[in-house]
Amino acid sequence: MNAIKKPSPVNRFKKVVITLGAVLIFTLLTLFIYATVLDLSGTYEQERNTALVHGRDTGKPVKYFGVVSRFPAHIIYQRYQPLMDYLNQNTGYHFSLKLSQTYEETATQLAGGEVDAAFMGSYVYATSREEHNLISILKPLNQDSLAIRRSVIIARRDSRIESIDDLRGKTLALASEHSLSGNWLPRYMLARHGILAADLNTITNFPNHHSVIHRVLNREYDAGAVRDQVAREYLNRGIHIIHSSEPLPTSPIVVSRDRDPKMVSAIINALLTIERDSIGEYEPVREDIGPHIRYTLSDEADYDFILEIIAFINAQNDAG
Amino acid sequence: MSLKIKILFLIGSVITVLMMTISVAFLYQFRSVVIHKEVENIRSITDAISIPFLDALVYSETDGINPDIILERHLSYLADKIEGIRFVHIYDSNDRLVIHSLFHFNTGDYTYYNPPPATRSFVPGRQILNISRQEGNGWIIEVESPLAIAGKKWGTAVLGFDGNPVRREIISISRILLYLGIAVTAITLLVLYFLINRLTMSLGRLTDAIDHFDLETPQTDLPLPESDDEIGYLSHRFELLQKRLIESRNHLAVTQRQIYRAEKLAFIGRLSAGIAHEVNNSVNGIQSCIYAIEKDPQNTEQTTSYLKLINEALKHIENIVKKLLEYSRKNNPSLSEVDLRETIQNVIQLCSYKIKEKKIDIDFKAEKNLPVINADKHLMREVMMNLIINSIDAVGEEGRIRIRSGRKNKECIYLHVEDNGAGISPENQELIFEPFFTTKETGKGTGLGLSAVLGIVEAHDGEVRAQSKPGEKTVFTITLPISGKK
Ligand SMILES: Nc1ncnc2c1ncn2[C@@H]1O[C@H](COP(=O)(O)OP(=O)(O)O)[C@@H](O)[C@H]1O
Ligand SMILES: [Mg+2]
Repeated sequence: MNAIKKPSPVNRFKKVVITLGAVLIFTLLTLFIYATVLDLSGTYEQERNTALVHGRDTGKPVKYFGVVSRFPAHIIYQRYQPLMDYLNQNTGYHFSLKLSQTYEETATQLAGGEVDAAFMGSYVYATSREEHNLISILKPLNQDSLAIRRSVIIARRDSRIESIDDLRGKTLALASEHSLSGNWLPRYMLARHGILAADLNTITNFPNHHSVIHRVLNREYDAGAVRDQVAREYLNRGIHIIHSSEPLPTSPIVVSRDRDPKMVSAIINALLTIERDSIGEYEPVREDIGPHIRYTLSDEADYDFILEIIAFINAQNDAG
Repeated sequence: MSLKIKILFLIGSVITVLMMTISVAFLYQFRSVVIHKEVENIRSITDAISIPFLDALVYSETDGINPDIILERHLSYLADKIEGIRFVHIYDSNDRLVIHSLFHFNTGDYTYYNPPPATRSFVPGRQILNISRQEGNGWIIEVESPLAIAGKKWGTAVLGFDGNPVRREIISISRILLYLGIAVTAITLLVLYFLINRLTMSLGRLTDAIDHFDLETPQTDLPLPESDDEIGYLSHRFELLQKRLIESRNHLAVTQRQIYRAEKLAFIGRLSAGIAHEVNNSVNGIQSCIYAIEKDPQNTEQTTSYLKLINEALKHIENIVKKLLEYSRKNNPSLSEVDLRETIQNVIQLCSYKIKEKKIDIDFKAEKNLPVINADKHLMREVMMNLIINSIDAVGEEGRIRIRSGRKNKECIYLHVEDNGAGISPENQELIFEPFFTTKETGKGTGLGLSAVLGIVEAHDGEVRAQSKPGEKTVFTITLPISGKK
């Protein structure tokens, strides 16, 4: 160890300077990093599908699309607005939803030109088309690419109701009086089996199909009649289908015969060419509160049978 | 710089840099995760608490209900229930302010509350979250969230959240990382310090061993290991080196002895050559005496003195032969009282043939105080003979040789032989006393004269020195003890 030289003062000074410099750089670096790390400033953007919707903003002619529903407004918007967005992107018009509480209101608005097109129930269409000079232009396709649906009669799986004949003396829940699949067709099916309203304990109409199922599940009613798609949602939740109807046409999109044919063909062209999945987060199965993804051309004759059914039931009831 | 400090410094800086890099990377990662989490959190809170605002605006449009009551109720609910929310501003679809909170919810502070602008313009289709520092409020996370369903917008909610907790989280982790970094570095350096101390201690032992290792011939510049070789290995190597050194030293001693023997033989050879030379010198002297006698045989006085000289030269030859015989037996000269004046004059007379031939101006002066010295008479003759003949050889025609002698001090006498001959070049001055060194052509010089002079003078415990300025003068100086031995 005695071989180690004593550093000269100049060397020592140099070393001290280097060490101090290193410490200084280290400290400055630390402070700098500390400062940058703690500077949280920043902007984080996220795309939200909210194109501007006002007609005056887009410069396109504004058209109104009527919807009838007793569901809360924001749910209706959630269901229908994507289709409007699609039309707005693919036609020369700007479509805006117009919500109404009753079928009659919508039919009147169609006739009066307050709305230019509307989603309408089959029953309402069939019964008001003559009076308001309406015409169906499109009808939605189901998952199997067919423009059909059925009316089904359901009961709890733990009940002893296995067929229509078991319904005598029981309580029955139906959907809206304006619903084909939830009211008229079930009544028709029962009548065909010789069961009239009088043969049941009670028949009650509820505003929508889901309420019907809930009444049955809650044991308030022994059986209920709903559209097949709604019933299918609940099949593994304690109900079963005891009877299924013949196929019915799906609910049409309706316009007034007096409306601008250009607009009508624009709607038809756009909706006929919808690509599957082109409309974002969208649940087509809940048909009662939303449109289907794909459409096909409607045939006026599809809805003729409805008037016959009504006539038949009214006749039966009058007879009973 | 000592090895210890070097290693500490190096590893210290490496560890510091490493720790810092890791810490910074971790910190940035942590920061981005925390911010990302907070952004996501605030997004979902915003989306959740926007629903009632949206509903109120939707119903006011579809059902004509005045939204203010719903909006206000919701505002006060938010103030109570949502922690960290600072303000809420609701704008309608035309970007006009509909309702806003009246002060910062959590602080209840009006001081820094800036009432929101009555109209703003929002970027359509984007939820924008902006983190910024606001005077007096610290860090605020402001979200502009469209109140919209699909493509239809009813308005925009602008919500402010407290950004300081996130920042505090980052601060605390930064501090922890900093302290941790410093602690780890310090501990590592400490451990390193002790390890290196042990290392340098054994290194020190090794250097001590190296320092104390002595082979009579000093072996100082043994290099210290520069790389961090194992000390044990190093010591082992050093041991091997020691052994090898000792071995080679023994080997050297043997070789030296052999050389010494060879030298002695060489010296005998040299001596015989010198003897031949001496004999030759004497014979030359005798020749010149005979030459003088032959020239003037009638001059009996001269003849008598020359014969005396011849007799002395013959005695000299006899002496030389005797000396050769004595060489093996006797190293010390046989001392007797010698008068150098007489010896030098005799030598000059012996050389007079050559001196005259070359017309050399020779001048000999002895100081009066020059004492008789105790020396070997014949060896002194040989010394003088060699020096004078070398000078005669060195000077040209009409050269000058000056011989001076006197008392140097109480104990010693001096003797100068100076000439103005060719001189001796500096590089040769080192070599002239070496046996067989000669610059003369073969047959003329043997290179043994000066080595014999050196040998004789040293045998008398005297000294001989040569000084020469080539082309100017050459001086051979001899000092001899008066008593023969000091
Ligand atoms: N006085 C002198 N002047 C110049 N050179 C000298 C003188 N004396 C000796 N030397 C040089 O020293 C050499 C060695 O001298 P010496 O040993 O007497 O051998 P040698 O006379 O046989 O050459 C000579 O060859 C010569 O070069
Ligand atoms: Mg010589």
